[in-house]
Amino acid sequence: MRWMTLILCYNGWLGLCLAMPKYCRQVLQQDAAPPSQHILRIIGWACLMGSLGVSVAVEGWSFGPVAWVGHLAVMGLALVCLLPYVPRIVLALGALGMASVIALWFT
Amino acid sequence: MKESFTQSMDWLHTWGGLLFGWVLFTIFLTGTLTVFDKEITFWMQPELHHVDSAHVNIKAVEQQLTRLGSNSDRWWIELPSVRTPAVTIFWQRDDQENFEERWLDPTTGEILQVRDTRGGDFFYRFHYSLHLNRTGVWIVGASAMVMLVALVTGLVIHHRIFKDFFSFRPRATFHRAWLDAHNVTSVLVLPFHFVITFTGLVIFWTIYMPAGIQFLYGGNSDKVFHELEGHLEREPARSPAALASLSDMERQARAHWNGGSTESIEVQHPGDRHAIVNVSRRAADRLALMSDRVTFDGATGELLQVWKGELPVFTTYSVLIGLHYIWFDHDAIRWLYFGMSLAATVMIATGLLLWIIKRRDRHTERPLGFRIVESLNVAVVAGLLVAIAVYFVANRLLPVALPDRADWEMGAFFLVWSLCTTHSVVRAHSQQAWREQLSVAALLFALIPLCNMATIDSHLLVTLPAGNWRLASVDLLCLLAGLLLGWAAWLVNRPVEQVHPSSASLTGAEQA
Repeated sequence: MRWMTLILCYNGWLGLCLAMPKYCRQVLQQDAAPPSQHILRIIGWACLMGSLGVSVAVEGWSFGPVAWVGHLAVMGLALVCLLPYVPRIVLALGALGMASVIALWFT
Repeated sequence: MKESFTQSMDWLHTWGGLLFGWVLFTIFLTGTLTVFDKEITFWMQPELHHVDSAHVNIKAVEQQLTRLGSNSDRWWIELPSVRTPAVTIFWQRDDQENFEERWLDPTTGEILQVRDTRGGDFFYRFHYSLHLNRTGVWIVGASAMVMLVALVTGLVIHHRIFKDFFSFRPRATFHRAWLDAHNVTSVLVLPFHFVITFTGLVIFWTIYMPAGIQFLYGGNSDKVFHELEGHLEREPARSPAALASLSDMERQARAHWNGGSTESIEVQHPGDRHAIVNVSRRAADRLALMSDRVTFDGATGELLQVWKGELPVFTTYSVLIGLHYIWFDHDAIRWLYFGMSLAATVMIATGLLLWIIKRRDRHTERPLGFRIVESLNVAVVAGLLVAIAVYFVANRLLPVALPDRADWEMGAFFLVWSLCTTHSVVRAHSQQAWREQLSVAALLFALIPLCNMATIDSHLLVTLPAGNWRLASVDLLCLLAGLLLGWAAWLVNRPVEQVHPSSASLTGAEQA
């Protein structure tokens, strides 16, 4: 379940990041406009809020929010460090992560 | 006021950050290590590595205390936990000031011969008092206040906080790259920075804001906590009476805690008719650093009090300091704190470097002030890393039987740190000083696991196959630190290609 919090945090940041044209260009390595800023932003926030929900559901109201802030910070830093070095991997990681979360959910 | 609000905030951020940055860096780096203080202490006491803490024989521990502390007025027993395998006993010496301390085998109660070391506790004490006692606590408090100011002013002067939220451009100009690193480690970890700094100040409220205690309690802060924690005290009756069974009392206490475990047992006036026994619960499963307590009459074993801290103000305080101490058992949060605290340390270091980078190109000949800041940056950032590595190495290499061994370990730390400071002053070019000190730090950190293999039998080749992560992770983190510092030294070593301003802004634009 902690894995799910981590992945949701990562994808939340990724969504918000892609919703901004300059980062979107950096990730896609082309001048394409982001698909839909609005939807990406909603997905981003939904993932971040979802990760809070999961964290609280697993850890309870005392440890849950504390762990969540930690996950947010660490995953945010991870994304920011990956962006300039391996921009193409950034998307793949998000997709893989989501797939693993869904797979875990159904097994 | 001629300057704009943002400009004056910028001034405050720059100069406040510079003056207190060095102290803040040492506080945050030692604080980062303190996250794993008990793990470091355990690593530094190889004699305890094979101790089995599955069963605790309180009876045997009590016999040891009866033998060793027969004339003492106060005993403490600290029971083992996941982070510390041995039983620790303390007893008050006759002078009422100092304590004797021994480690016992939990199963047999035998005294374990452990090398004299302060372990991770050294970093913990340094983190809040800089090894300067009360003066240090004041310096740390002032630095924490400046940290809060720097956080707020930093927010004010960061114009593009949302636009540059994910920006990190390591290939742009020096200034751009370091500023990005500074911004990213500040903004993404901001909740942690605020909480850790504020709660750090809260811990020492009795020192920093003593007015209320002065007025209501005559300046005696112990009295406040006695009242808040509802301690029972009584004078010794001066007539002997045997102590009732401690293990019975411990078992009875646990029945009140709904599955909680015992952290410590305190005996006041052992052997007296008025003896009191306090059994405290480990605050392992809650944020609040607040231990429930059950108090017994030592002579009869009769239950006197069950205390469960229901005072809202005290609970709030305990949660705040609990968020700082993280003494609860939660490995994931511990690692996250380690990561965030490391980010805070990087934030402060990058801030210190930025002061230099911003001014470097402005001066053709370097004024004295500039050179002082350059040397201090090397001495504090790289020098402290070298000193920390030396402290670890000294723990393994100093002879186990050396008298005052713990002092020698700390002495090595401070000696090497002063040598690094001298070196950074003597070296004409700060780049050279950086390279040399970072290389030494990298080498020393990489040496730590090797020293381990040469001197003790619980090294990586043993701990890794056994899955003993508590020990292995210390070695692995040292190796990782060695690699990262080696990389940093290599980066400094590269010939600096002066990025042409126009091409730099071009790459910056491409990246953006």
